[in-house]
Amino acid sequence: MNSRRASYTLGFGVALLALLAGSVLAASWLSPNDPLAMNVGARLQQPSMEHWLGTDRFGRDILTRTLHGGQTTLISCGLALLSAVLIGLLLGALAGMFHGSLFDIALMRIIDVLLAFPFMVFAMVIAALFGTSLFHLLLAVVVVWWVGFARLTRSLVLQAKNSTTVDAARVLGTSKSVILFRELLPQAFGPVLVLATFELGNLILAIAALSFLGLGSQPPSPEWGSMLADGRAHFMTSPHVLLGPALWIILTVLAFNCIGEGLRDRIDPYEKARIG
Amino acid sequence: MNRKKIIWPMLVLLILILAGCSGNQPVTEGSESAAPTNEPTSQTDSKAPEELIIADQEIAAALDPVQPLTSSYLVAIGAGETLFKADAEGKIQPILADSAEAVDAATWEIRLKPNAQFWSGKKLDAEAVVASLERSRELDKQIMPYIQDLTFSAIDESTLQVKTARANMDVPLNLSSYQTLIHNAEASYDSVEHMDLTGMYAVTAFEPQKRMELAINENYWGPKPTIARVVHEQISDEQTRMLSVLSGNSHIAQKMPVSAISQLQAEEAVTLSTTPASNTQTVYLNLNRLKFQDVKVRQALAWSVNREELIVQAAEGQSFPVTTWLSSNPAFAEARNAVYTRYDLDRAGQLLDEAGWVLDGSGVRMKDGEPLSIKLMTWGGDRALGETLQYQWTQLGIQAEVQHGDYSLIETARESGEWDAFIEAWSTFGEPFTLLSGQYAPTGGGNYGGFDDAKTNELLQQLSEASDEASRHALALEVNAHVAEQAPVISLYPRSQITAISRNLEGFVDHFRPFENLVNENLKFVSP
Repeated sequence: MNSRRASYTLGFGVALLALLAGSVLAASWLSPNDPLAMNVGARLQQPSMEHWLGTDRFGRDILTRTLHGGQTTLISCGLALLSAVLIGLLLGALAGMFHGSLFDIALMRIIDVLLAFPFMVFAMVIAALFGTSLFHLLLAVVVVWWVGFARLTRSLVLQAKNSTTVDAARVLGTSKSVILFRELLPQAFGPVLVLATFELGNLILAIAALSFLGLGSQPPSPEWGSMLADGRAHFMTSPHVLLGPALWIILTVLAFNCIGEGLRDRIDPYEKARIG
Repeated sequence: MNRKKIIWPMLVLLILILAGCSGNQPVTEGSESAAPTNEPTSQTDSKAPEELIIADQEIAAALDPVQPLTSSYLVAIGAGETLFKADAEGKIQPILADSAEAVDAATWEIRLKPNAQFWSGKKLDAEAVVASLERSRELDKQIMPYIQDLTFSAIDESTLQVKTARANMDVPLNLSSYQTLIHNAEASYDSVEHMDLTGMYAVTAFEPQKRMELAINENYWGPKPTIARVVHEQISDEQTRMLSVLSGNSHIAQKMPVSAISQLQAEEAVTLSTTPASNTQTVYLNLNRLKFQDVKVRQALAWSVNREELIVQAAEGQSFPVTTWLSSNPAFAEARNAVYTRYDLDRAGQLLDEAGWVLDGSGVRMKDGEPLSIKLMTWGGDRALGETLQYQWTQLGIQAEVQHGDYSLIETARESGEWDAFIEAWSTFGEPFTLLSGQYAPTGGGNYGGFDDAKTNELLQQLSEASDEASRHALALEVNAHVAEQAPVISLYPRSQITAISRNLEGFVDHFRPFENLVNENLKFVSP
């Protein structure tokens, strides 16, 4: 029963994400308007057949900008997360492999510092030092976001290091690098994937929040957070300006959370054992 | 069974939440809560006739008028006064002065109002005025542009003599700036009880950058105001200020966001004052960049700006186009469209072609393998302006980029020289030579881009030596037009300043300097 529910959740998440990703990737076909073209005569128009989600203060089609903004958000979040996962996996695996070494101790203290540092403040410091841009924001994301993956990978590697398969490999004279990449890391992939799926939802929210504050993508590039920030000023008289980006953010985060939950129920051995 | 156990508490919780939410519904007529009562129901009902509350982005941080911007707030709320003041048409009117006369090219005599006095009752005589201005000269750096070339002395009790270092200076104009607020130099300004000014209202309570309370000055020398008390309250967030005036908690809200105009216009509770200020939204170009050293490139940028569209997109239509810098000053209104008389993209393209920046296959203007690019820095409420300019310049084939952020980023870029362009709005009200030389003389404080033009320098020299008002005016216009043609900066429109005023307040005067003209003696409350 619970296993079926997990499948439904995962299926719903995947279907929703496919729908959203499809709409974003087919942006030019679904909404052929120019996302950057201003039209002073069409400012703040209500949703209509011509503009399904209305227009913003510059007369730009909101649906078009939402879909094109999705490309920016999803691709950049995906790339940033991939980088963070790779760094986290590698460093976490090395720390676990060489547990108690100077590298392990130093890495854990760095992780402690980064965990204690608020991400928003860190992103603001990066923006103040290097200027505001989506690239700098993603840089801040990667610098901070890998720690969760590193900690998880380290703990999984520490656990797997004492398993019989690893002992057998060691007795057979397998090199440490082969043990690391063939025996230990694969055991971490599943839980890290689950964490990454949840984190992608968080990451989209964080990037939207920072773009809302003006620290992310710069005009005229559409991006969900900056679209919300632009629309805030007109929210009382033209609430439709927030509809597109808000809806897509909510649905995307929901999709990733459903996928993460479904994956966790299927992959995580402890969760699997608990739900029977 | 387990599910039932969960469902019932959830249902109860839902009902409680819904009940809680219904408590936030507006009270309808006929409901118990809306029953008539003798208790005051709101601030406007109970206090409005006696107390004027002004919500501002920022209020004074100190009581001493020589502290930065303090004199501006004190003048704005009727606590302090200057010898002269610019009226809504830009004409200089005597306030504490009774009259002013130029005795010769470098000497003025100013007669004081015979009945003018400080809050304390001390008579305002020429010695007190000299002492006040000298104290400001000593302690307030911001006053220097206005009085650094002036020497003050008292001829008799009611007559002040002003000697000028340059010939033909407009002394009353200089003495109309809020920095020249007249205060009792013998008083101390460490507490409300000790301060001594001349305005119609006297400060009764003060919390720095929070709240200032004032009551009618019973010793006021002029007609006394109708409203008994004034409160100047700091509400930094613009949305909160807006809510404050809409809810009736304040009667005047300053510096409303441009984007809120449509909402405020739809509200019955307030009227709007949207008189553009006497400053010009200006794009400053870095002339140390090779691409901007070519005047044709700068002119092309100016021709390709559709100012009408900018005003709609970035100022919600609340301004007017100006193509020359000085023309946001009402006294130079005739120069508004003296140069770049229309939006002309073709002409702009032609100028860039002549300059060697030609369109490539992808629609980008290239020269020597380099694209023509411009990175425009904006701050504050100018993001929409930057974005619209970016779009307009992109139509010309320029790779335009906008960087919106804190003003400190612009300052840092200026110090390092690593900038292409930024937007800033300097005041254009004042003595023309001081203003124009500050912007376009090689040593001018506002000449950020390093503009150094022989003809401009020559015209400025002539302006400083001009002997009569008509020739000074004509020369100022000539400098203004010549600089616009050279385009070291691109003038756009006067920055809109939006003030929301409660409908039950009458007598508010639209002024191009709203930050120092909030309160007047004719303000009064009326039935809405």
